Amino acid sequence: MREYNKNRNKTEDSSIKKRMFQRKKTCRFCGDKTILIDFKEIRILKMYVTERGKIIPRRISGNCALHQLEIKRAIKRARSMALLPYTTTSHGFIQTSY
Amino acid sequence: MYDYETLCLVNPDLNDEEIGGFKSKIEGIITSFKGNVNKTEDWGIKKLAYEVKKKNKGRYILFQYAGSGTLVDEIERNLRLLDYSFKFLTVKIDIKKLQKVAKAKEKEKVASQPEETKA
Repeated sequence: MREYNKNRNKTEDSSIKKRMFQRKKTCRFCGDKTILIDFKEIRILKMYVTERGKIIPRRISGNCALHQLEIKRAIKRARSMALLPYTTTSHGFIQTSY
Repeated sequence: MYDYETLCLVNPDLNDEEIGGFKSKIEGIITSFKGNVNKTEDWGIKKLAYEVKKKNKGRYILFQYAGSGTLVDEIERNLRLLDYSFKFLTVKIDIKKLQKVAKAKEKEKVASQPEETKA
């Protein structure tokens, strides 16, 4: 792909790059191995859940397959233990402090 | 012998005596089945994400122990019979991994401290 782009003009290169991918997101947990994914650590899980309580998909969060699976399991366990909500009603929202 | 962790959600209206009795009961079950209690944590009364048994607050108690599968069955059987235990979840844990992560975190802290003193 790089050799193909060398022969073209710079303006065309930038437009092609924009179309191919905006930026590469790396998995946060692969980079830092001291972060434990546990259903009890809500402050980490809250970052991967929307305001309404839905799980953020992998193509947006940037996680690798393994860690997305672990996060999904941890969120579902936390939901069953009333640490995270299943859905938020009109008066409810994700608590920032416990 | 594997390491397990049980998180219990308990009625928040209980006295301190009753909670002490609950903790000692479960620790007694663990020791009677020749298990080891690693730690017991009481998180206190917390606000729940949704209503459980028509209550918005609950008390969380965590038990970490080593034992066999029959021990886990016995603990869960007792938790189901009790009136004041609403929910429980048992998870198998890898203690070596937890220790590795704890060591790595300590190293990071030690490494960051001399930089602060220099600055």
